[in-house]
Amino acid sequence: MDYGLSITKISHLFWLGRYAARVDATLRYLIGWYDTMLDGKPIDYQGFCRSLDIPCPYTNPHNFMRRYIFDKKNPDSIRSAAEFMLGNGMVLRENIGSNTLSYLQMAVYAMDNASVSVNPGLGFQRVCDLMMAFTGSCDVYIDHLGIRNMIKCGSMVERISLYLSFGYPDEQLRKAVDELILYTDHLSLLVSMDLNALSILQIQKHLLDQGRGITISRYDMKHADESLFQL
Amino acid sequence: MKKLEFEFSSCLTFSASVTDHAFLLRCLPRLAAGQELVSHDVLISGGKLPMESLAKGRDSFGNTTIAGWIAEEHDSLSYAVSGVVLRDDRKKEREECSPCYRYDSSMTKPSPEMKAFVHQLDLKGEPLEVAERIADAVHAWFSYAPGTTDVNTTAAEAFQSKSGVCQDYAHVFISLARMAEIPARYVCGLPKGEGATHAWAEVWQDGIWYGYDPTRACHADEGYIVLAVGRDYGDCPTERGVFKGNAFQMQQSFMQVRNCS
Amino acid sequence: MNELLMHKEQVNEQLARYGVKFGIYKNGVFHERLFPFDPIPRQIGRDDFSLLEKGLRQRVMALNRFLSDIYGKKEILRDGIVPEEFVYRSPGYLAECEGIQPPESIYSHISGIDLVLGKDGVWYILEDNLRIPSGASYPLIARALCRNCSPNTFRRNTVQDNRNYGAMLKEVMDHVNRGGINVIFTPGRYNAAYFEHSYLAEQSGAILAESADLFVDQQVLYYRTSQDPVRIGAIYRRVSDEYLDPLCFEPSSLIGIPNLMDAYRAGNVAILNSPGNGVADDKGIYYFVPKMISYYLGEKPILHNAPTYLPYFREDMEYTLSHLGELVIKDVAEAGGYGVVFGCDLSEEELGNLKETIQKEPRRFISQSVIDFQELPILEDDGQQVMRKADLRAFVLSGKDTVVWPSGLTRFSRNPDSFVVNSSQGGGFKDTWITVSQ
Repeated sequence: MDYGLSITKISHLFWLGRYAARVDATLRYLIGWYDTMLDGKPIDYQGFCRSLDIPCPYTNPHNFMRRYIFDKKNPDSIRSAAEFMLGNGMVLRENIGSNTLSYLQMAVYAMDNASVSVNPGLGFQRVCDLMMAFTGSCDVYIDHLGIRNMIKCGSMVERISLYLSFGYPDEQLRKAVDELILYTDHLSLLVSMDLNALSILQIQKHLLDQGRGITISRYDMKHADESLFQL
Repeated sequence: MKKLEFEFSSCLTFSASVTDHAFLLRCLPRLAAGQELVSHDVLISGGKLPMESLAKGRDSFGNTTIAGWIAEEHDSLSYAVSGVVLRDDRKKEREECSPCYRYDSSMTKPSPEMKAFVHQLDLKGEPLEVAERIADAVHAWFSYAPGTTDVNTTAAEAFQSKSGVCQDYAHVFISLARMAEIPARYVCGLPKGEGATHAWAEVWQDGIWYGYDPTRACHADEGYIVLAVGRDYGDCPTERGVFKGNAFQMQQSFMQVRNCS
Repeated sequence: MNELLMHKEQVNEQLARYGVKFGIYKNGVFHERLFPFDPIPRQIGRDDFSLLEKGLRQRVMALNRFLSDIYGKKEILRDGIVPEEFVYRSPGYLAECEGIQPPESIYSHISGIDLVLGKDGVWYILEDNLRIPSGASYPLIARALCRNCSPNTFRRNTVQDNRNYGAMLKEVMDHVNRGGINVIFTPGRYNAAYFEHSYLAEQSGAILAESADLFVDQQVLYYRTSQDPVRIGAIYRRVSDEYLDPLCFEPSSLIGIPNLMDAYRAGNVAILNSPGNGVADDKGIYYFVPKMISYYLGEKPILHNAPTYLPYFREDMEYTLSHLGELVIKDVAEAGGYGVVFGCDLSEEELGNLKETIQKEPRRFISQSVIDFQELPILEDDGQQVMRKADLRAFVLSGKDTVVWPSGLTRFSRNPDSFVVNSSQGGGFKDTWITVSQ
């Protein structure tokens, strides 16, 4: 039976989805940079930070790859995102189940293993595998539609935001916006949404569906995306 | 026998809006033999709206409680009770004394000085006589000084400072009486006259609780209306509440008790 | 069983995978640690355990009767079996609970009874935990993981299954439920036993909630959802009495539920375990439990207390003072392994000081003979087995019937010289097997 959930739980579900997507999407994006650096080619980490609107205290590419990815004390790091992901998951054990939760715990361990390995690329692959296992486990083993879709909403909000930051092609953006709107339609939990933001996303989805690009700035689109849920 | 008309009102105002406000009031006269509540009116408002969803209950000390919950934003809580009480000490009935009134409670733990103080007194005789001697000693020890203590001041702290208000007189008296092996309890209520609520104490002898007012060094006679009793103030405040919000609160209270015409 | 030991690493990996942790505050900072698990189980034969079961049920039934009596008619005091002041001076006694009749008259729904097995082969009760005893989740999940890692060990099915704890808990909650859902109420993620709270919620199908999710209106407790509030019929709270309701107990509590006690008193919600239970698991009251069993049940106590002396009684005071060096002294107000002093560890001067304190405050202490209890083998990292002190926390659930969970938490001290087995003091745990002979 689909029971109602407290605002606290809904908020944890949403942020679980966001942080899980952040860990996965950002790692996938950065895996290629190790290879680029191998040939001594530059990586635009300053531009990366700018596009995510985060401070850039990093002194060189290696320093960036170390501290942005692994530093537990850096609140912007992927390692911190993984910690927040686990923190939100831990308080949802009885909602998502111990098995689904265990993938998050393993992903955090895998991050720590990657940080001390000579081939972090392989370690990242393991993290991303576990994130996929988490996503699959949510799909198959969470019976409560509202719980499942709330996590997905968080995940899609984050992906749209990152795709816009990373300048991903329209087709990928279109699929993500499509999915987000689909999940909001089938939330089955009463969650307040910013209707203005929702209508902006719907209009842009329509344009993307027709093969046209978005007609507002990426910044405004990102803003609409991130203000859809006030959780 | 006395027929008394009473009014008691209090208003809490908050410096900013608050939400999720839960409260528990003990503002109605306690139901007990010797004190009959002939008629009464209660009006409780959260913000501007009178509240309907209130729950009347009885706590473990036998006091009437009114519990309420206001989820919405509001910036005040006020309550006003009025009615007629029939006080008749001859109608008091014998009852057992709950043993909890014989032991220290958190606000009445005696200090070594208080132990020494009570043992200087003449503790021989009937409980009531001894209690009266203790009350007189407390009255002499203290000087009445509002503002020197607050609602959280313990008996030991008040005794040390030799000054305080009715709550402190009552706490010290209760602590000393219990050391003299006289069961004693704290009373919060409305004495004849007007102004603020008052605190005094009751001591138990042969099944009857007798009121004594150490602040005024007199018996709490039929001119006293009991709202609530407990081991000490902590058990029976007239109002206790918690809310969400970053706000200061100010309280204004008024009470009046007079003979019924 | 040897096969299980070969899989020690895998079991530990599994425990880490499932986040089997407990929290600890060190210098004011919260840390989470894996709870060290030793794969060698404590084994108790079915016949021995049947006797334990009988004794534990008897004890918990008497303790429930005692609580009902203390907050009700107080006959045991009137009959002089327990001196009144042991009740009213106990920090666990709550006058705020006087006269409350909990649903089905059950006070201690989940009781954690700590025992040790003496070298004489006799089980001794060390203490009763009737407030919020924790620990069942650890052997519960460890069993599931061990079965997974070493199926051959369990194939012959000589170990009684213990994985029904969640179902047993649900049955108790359902039995006392006053209409509505079951909730486990946690102080939050930064509580030492948070893993347990969340795991038991999952296992029993209850909702895990914090104070912000709960409110009382018109003497009914509700779970606040984004839709309509949902009525709660039973709340298994893992918040201690003093913080439970800021309008009844400690006013500064931020983790409580205002007016919960008002709803409870009105009979609209069951609280597991009932507030005020601390009066019955007080170290001073412990002395009287065998007397309670005779008084309430008219039976001979099946299980033994450790030999205990109450300095409150003159003969016991004399005995305590003259044998202080060989006794263990416990401060009745302390819990969790704190406030326990072994006379043999003290210098002459310290012994003198302690004697003085005991004479000044006789009610504050009990003294006990040190029980020479059996040690259990622990598997060290290098594969060697060493012997360590261990106790057993048995879980007794009181609902429609009073039943003993066929398992328990076996805690051991990792320090060879220590008798103290609490997790907060660095101990580890073992599974407890009830074995059926074939």
